[in-house]
Amino acid sequence: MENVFNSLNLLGEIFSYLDLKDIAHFRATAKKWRKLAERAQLWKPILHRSFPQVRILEDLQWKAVEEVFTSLKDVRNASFEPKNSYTVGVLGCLGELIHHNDSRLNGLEKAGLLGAFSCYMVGQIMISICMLSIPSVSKIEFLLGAVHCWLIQVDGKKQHWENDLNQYLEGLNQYGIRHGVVLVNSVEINESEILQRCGQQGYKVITLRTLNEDAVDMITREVLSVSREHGETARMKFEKSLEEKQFPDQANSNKKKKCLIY
Amino acid sequence: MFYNFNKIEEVKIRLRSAEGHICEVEESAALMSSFIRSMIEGFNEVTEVSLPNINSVVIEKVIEYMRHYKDKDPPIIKKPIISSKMEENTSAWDAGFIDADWNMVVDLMTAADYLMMIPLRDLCCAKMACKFKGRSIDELRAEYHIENEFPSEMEENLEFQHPWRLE
Repeated sequence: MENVFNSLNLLGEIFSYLDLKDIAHFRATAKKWRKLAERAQLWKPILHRSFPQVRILEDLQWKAVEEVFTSLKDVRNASFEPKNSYTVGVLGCLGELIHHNDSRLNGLEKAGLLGAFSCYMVGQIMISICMLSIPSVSKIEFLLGAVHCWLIQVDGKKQHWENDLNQYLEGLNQYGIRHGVVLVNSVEINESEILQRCGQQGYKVITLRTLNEDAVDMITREVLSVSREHGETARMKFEKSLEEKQFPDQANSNKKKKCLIY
Repeated sequence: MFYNFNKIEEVKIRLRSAEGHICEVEESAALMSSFIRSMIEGFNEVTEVSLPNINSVVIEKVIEYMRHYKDKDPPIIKKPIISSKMEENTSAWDAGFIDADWNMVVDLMTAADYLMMIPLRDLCCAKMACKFKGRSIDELRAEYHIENEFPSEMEENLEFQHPWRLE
């Protein structure tokens, strides 16, 4: 065993046949195994294989991955499952992965970040969703390349809900995004001017009284439709702009593709 | 004059093991190893290759693999593996070939790495991965005779950090 553990190359090859869950178990078995498993070159390729469309930060720590999966347990325990017309499985709330791993954030803020970006498997289609929150508006640029559908959730019972919504829309508009799903928890404001404007711009507006199975089903359908309609185009557009920004003189080099991934 | 081409013997490569034993293998099979290939191609008329890090039992096993895949490509094992049973991850022959004790698999893997035989190395790595696949933390500790090194407070944290543990 020792001679295998002494060779990071071989251990990396062994790890490449496992999934993140197996590696988490390996890590938790013994102190020495823990140190080994935390070597980024061992688990990052597997994380990248598991979520190929997510841009993974260079300084990402294993701790962040653990937190993501811990939060998944809560999601599963909540039995928050939609109707059987869709098979929706949460693959990961990867907000932490693409935001910086800032230990100064308090629990609530962290939870906000974790919830900010998620990957879902709907049937056979993998979609990534960003649920905007006020702090994450400033991070839109960071998320652009990875998001298929922008989800804006507004508390219509709040006094200044229109200001919040406006802030989200302006944030997205800055990057040329005029599509997504707007979720409002109050049917009374259905007729409001700003919601009508959202609809005209290309957003799907959903007003809800309660969040039950039917509502989840409806949200899933709309998110899927937006993802299909705009997701890939938006990602391609963003990647192109990023390539031009970073490598203006090397339009087709392989180097730039690598930089988009890491 | 009549030539019987079937009787022309193929060139054999002599592999010298750590103990100094000689194991012979047909050149066409030995070329599966990029290390041996570079020796043969780099130095004309080389027919003996010294492998001081590999014992003869392991060399014989390597030769068995070389001969089996001399004329065909080994199957590719999908990542991640789908099961902890090798027969569900690869061909029956490969699964049977690698069904050896832990030390043999480790020796074979390091030998394959040294000889630059990627398919054999991958087969060994997948076999090793099977030993970890789907195992809980407690099962791993029992299997590898590892005492719980984490204090109980930390252990509680581990349970928190590894939600799958209780599944």
